[in-house]
Amino acid sequence: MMNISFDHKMYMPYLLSMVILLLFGCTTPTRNELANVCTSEFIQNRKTKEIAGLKVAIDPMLEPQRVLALFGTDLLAEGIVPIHIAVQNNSKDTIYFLPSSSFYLISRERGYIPRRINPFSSNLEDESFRQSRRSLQDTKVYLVGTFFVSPLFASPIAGHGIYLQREAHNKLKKAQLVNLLISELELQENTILPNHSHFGMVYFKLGFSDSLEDILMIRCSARILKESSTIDFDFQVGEQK
Amino acid sequence: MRNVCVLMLISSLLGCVQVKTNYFTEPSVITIDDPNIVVAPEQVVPARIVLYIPERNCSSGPNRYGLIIDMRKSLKELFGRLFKETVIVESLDGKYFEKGFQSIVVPEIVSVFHENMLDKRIETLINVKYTFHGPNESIIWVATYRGQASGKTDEESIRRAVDLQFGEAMKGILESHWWDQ
Repeated sequence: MMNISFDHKMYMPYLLSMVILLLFGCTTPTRNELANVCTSEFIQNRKTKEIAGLKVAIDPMLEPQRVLALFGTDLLAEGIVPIHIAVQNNSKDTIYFLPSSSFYLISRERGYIPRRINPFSSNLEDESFRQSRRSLQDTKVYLVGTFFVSPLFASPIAGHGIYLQREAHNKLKKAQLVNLLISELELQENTILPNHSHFGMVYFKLGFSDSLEDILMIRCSARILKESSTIDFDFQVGEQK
Repeated sequence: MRNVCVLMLISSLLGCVQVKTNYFTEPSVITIDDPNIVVAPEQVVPARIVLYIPERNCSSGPNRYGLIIDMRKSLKELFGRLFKETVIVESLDGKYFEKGFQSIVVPEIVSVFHENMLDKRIETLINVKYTFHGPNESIIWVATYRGQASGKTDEESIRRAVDLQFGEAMKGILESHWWDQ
């Protein structure tokens, strides 16, 4: 009978690397960190227009760094364009509201691109979310695979599998937090009474062939309740404040 | 040899433990029957309304966990308590304004975020829009209210979020005084 002996010390580096990988895999931003970023910085760069007592200010977030700082992920890279909108009703007695269908990006190539309600909602599962989930499932299969390999490599492969799973877990956790933050910040449809204001994020989804440079204008239409008429606010992209 | 066997055992156990997790569940409808909202007699709005609650507006589509949130019963309850007279309809073919009704109210679930967060809690965020229509297809009042809560089970989390949303809606509707305009 063949006598095989293994020195337990040979596994020490692998065990140590497993511990280190596990520790590193635990770092992920919390929801509070993400939410804290959105309090003041992105409101500063506004373009403002006022018609019939209604003041509309927009802040198109077309710089990846700002989007990354606010949401914790580069939404622009995924074709999601967030635009911060703030509305102040300075009129004496006119009641306005902004229907959700009244926001458009005007693109050089595609013309009018309508607003996308809750682009990452549970019903509209996006690609990155799906990938994170799939990745988490795949690493489980990878871990099961360690059972079938040589005992000599089982431990390091299991360690690597645990690391990959931790990575996938953190990615999915981050995607969930981003998803929640997007929902929390979204502009909702509301009546705006005199001396009241309303603000939030509006999201647009670009197509595969669209680029940020193609965006010419952002249009927002406010409706006057009693007259059933609308006022259009057009903002040129790149326009000075 | 013993060490090798132990490591093999640990590796295989890890694999087995990991593979049992499954994200898919059977489709189910969570019906919110009775909203946790108390309306005092002096808070009852002196207006006659028609409540239009088709299924497509007041019940969310199934999410990735197969969950459907049905708010129709709770909306009937809430508006029944909040207004002097509420007539519930599922189609708009009557001439309600000629019969003295002041508004047709159309609630609509705008968006739902419902997720089993990886930190072992279930988070729900629900936005419901209430549109108060007047005669000749005019709009009297529009407001969207949000409810956000977490819980240990789907039902607990959804119920809390819906109740919070109803609380906000009731407060907002009472403050709006649209019936006096």
